[in-house]
Amino acid sequence: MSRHPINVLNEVVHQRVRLGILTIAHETNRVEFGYLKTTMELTGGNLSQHLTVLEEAGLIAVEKGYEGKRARTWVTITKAGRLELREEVKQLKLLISQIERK
Amino acid sequence: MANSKSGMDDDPREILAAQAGFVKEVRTSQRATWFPLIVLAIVTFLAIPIERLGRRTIGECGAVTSASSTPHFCRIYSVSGLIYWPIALVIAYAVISNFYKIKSRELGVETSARKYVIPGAAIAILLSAASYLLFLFSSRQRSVLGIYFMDPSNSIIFRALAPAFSICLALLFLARFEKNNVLLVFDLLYGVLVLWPPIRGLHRTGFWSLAPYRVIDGGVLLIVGILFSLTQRTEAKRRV
Repeated sequence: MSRHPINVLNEVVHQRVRLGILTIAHETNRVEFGYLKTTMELTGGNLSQHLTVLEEAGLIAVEKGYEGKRARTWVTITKAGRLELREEVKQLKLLISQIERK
Repeated sequence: MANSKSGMDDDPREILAAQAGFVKEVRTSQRATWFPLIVLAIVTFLAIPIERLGRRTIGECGAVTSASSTPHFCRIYSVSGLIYWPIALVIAYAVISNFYKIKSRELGVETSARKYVIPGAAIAILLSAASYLLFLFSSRQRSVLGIYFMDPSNSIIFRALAPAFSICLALLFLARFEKNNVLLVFDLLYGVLVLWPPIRGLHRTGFWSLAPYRVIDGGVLLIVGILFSLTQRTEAKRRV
């Protein structure tokens, strides 16, 4: 018997902001901290916390550097991040189809 | 509000809707469709004096149809055009690639237009090489291929090897890269424009014979490029 989708969801990914970060990173080669902050309407501190959670889970890679005199933080989605994102979307769709069938 | 966006949301429909919103936002913000269209329009317009004033050679001559009243004609090849197009298109794709790189960096994302420019440059080189081979074979008097290509019903091959079709094929990759359905629709119509015999048959003769086609092809690219520019600038202002 297959497991219910709700039990398959990864708690690190199944969170709106973190799912948003992975989604945006998936659409680009690299995304800058400032772009994520503006697009997702987050404070710097809040975004940093979510990035730390994702980085510790191995779903993103964070790279700090300079462009000219300006400090930049770049976020790249990892292979594991892509797989988890795909799985999360798959399970969410499955969940919706089960809700709609009832 | 930061808190409302960072909280756990248990409705999967809302989560997926938010995700789709982010995907759309990121894709839209990275689009710069207008730039390649305008660059390719300029390349097309620049071809007019080069093809007109550069070196030309006369290929196979024959009758358009078997009817006795039909005048004879000769294919005139622009040798400078055969050299100009692959070089100009490869330079254009390099410029386009660089533009996407700079634009995305300014935006705060890093995107590579390689999925468009590499196939674009490869198509330009391959079709130009095929055009050159066709020129070599069909310019030999009474060669089998020469006679074959004299038949106007086979002129689709000339149109399919023409630079305009090379641009058209490459734009399919741009539409895929930008996930841009409007561009895809335009490109399919552009394909009809550059391939369809009633629009592009063997009607013209003389040294300026290619110029009207270049004006039409470049003009369409330029106008659509300007329209994309206006739309995409409005969208960018709305985001700010």
